[in-house]
Amino acid sequence: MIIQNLRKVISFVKKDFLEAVSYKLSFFMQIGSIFFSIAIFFFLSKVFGQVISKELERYGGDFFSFVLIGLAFTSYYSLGLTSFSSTIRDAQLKGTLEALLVTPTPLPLIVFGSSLWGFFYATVRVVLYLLIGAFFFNAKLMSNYLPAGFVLLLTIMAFCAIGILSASFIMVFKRGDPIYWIFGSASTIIGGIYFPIFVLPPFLQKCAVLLPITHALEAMRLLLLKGCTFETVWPQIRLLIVFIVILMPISIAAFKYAVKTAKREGSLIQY
Amino acid sequence: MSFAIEAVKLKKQFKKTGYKNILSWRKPSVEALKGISLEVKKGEIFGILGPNGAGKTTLAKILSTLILPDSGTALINGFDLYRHPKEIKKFIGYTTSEERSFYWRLTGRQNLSFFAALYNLSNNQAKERINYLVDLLALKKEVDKPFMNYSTGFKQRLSIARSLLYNPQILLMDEPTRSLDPLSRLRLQKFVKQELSGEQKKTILLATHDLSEAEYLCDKLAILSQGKIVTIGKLGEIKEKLEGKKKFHLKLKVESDYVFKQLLKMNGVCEANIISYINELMTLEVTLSGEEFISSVLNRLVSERVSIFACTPKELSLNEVFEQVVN
Repeated sequence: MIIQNLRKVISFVKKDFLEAVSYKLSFFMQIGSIFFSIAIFFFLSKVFGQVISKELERYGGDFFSFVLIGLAFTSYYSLGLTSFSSTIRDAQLKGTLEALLVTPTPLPLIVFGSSLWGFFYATVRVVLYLLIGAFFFNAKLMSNYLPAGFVLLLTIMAFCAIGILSASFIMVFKRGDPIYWIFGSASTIIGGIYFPIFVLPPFLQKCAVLLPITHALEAMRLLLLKGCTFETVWPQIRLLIVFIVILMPISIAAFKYAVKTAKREGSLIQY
Repeated sequence: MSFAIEAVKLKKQFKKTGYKNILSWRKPSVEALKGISLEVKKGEIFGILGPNGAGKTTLAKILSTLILPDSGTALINGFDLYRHPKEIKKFIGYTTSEERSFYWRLTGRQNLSFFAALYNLSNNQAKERINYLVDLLALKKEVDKPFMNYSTGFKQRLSIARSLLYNPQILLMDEPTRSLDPLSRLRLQKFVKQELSGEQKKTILLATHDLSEAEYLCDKLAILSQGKIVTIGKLGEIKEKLEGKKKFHLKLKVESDYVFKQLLKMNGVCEANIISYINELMTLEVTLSGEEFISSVLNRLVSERVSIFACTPKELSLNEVFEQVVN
C-alpha cells in the first residue's frame, strides 16, 4: 500500500516535470527572473537600507539579507496557500480530473501528488535565491541549515493547512476563495516579508501575530542572518506547531466535507 | 443470479445555474435521473440509448463513482456505490470521448505509464501491459508522439487503452465513437464486439445515441428519455412491446389505384404507402394495428380480384422503435 502510494506520488512528480520542461523557454525564463528580482532589492537596499537599519539590528542590520529571506520563503508561502486549490482548478480546467478520479487513487493523494512538483520547484528557487544572493550580491547568511530545514518543514505544513482550507472553498464555489484573500493579502502586507513588523502600528502588529508567516520568517531570519540556536527560536517553533495542530484537522474536515458536497452536487469536475 | 451492474431507483437532480438564478435563494433544479433501475448480466453488452440530455452520461458517471445519486443506489459486482467506492474502482474502466482527459504535452506512452501507476501497476507490469495494449489497439505508430499531435481516432483508441490498463471486468463507455469518421467508428465497434466482448468476455455498459451502433453491439437495451427508462429489454422484445403494430410489404397486380383507396378503408389498416407502381405491379408498405388483421386484409383483396404476388412481414428498424418509444 505504502509502496503503491509512493509510486503514485513519484509518477505525479515525473509527469509534472515532463510537462514543465516541455515549455523550455518558460522554464528558463522563470529561473532568470529570480536574478532580476534579487537585483532590484539589492539596489533598493543601497538607497533605503541605511534608513531602516536601526529596526533591522535584531537581524544583523542588513536590509538586503533581510528582504532576501522574505523573498525566498515567499515562494513556499504562496505555494502552500495556492497549490492545492490550483491543482484542483487546473485539473478541472484541463479536463483531467475525471480521468484521475476514476482510478483507485484517493482524492487527497491526487491533490498532494499534483502539488509536490511545485514544492520541489520552489525549493530549487529558494536555493537559487540564497545562492545568487550570497555569491553575486554579497548577502550575509549563516550556515544554520539543519534547524532552518526543520523550521521550513513546519512552515510548509502550516501554510499547507491553510491551502487545504482554501482548496475546499474552490471545490465547492469554483471561484472566489475568501481564505486565500484573507491570509494571502494579510501575509503580504503585515507578515514581515519586505519590512520588519516593528515598523507597523501596534494594532497591525497584534494582527501579524495571528499569521504563521510572521513566526516562520522571524525564526528563519534569526537562524540564517544572526546564527541563533534552536533554543532561541523555540517560541516561534512552538507557535508554528500550535498553528498546525489547530488548522490541520479543521482543514482536513473541511476538505472531506467539500469533496462530499461536490460529489453530491455533481460539480466535482465542473469549473 | 448475480449481476455485474444493478441499479436501483437512481435519482439525481442538478441545480440550475445562470444569471437568472443568481439571486434566488432556492435555486431551481433539473431532474437528470428519475428513478432508474436496471440489471446488467456478466459478459453482456448493455446499451443505454437516448437523445441528448436523456441522462446517459449522468448514469455512467454515477456508476463510475464520479458523482453521488440523490437517492437509490447501485451495486457493481455486488459492491455498493456509497459504501465501497474504492472496491468498485478496481472493477471498472471508464471510457469517454473527452479528448481533454489526457496530458497533451506528454506522449501517449508517458500518459499510459502515468495512469498505470495510478491503477497500482508496478513498473514491469505497466511496461508489459502498455506494450500489449499498443499492439492490440494498433497504436505503435503514434504512441511515442505527443498526444496533442494525435488524430481523433488515435485519441479515442488511447482512451480505450487507458481504461483497459488494469484489465477491468466492467467497462463503462460513454459515447466512445462520437466524432469518429465512419471507418474508424466501424473499426472500433468491431473491436468492442469481437475483442472486448467476444474474446475477453467483458461486461460493457455503452451509453450512445447512435442507433445503428446500439443495434450492432448491444445484447440488451434501455431507452432513456428525460431521465426515465421508457423501455428495456432485448431489441426483439422491445419491438414486440411496441403497441403490436406490424408492417407488411405487399406486391399486388392492380389495374388502377382504386384498390389502394379501398385498402386504406379496411379494418386494422393504420397506414399504407405506395413504394412503386410500374406496369400494374404495385408494391405497398402497409402498417396494421395487429398481426391478426393480415388474413382479413388479404381475403378482402382476393375478393376484390386482386392478384397477390407477395406478402412479407417487415421488421421494425431501431430508428422506428426509438422514434415510437421516445415520442
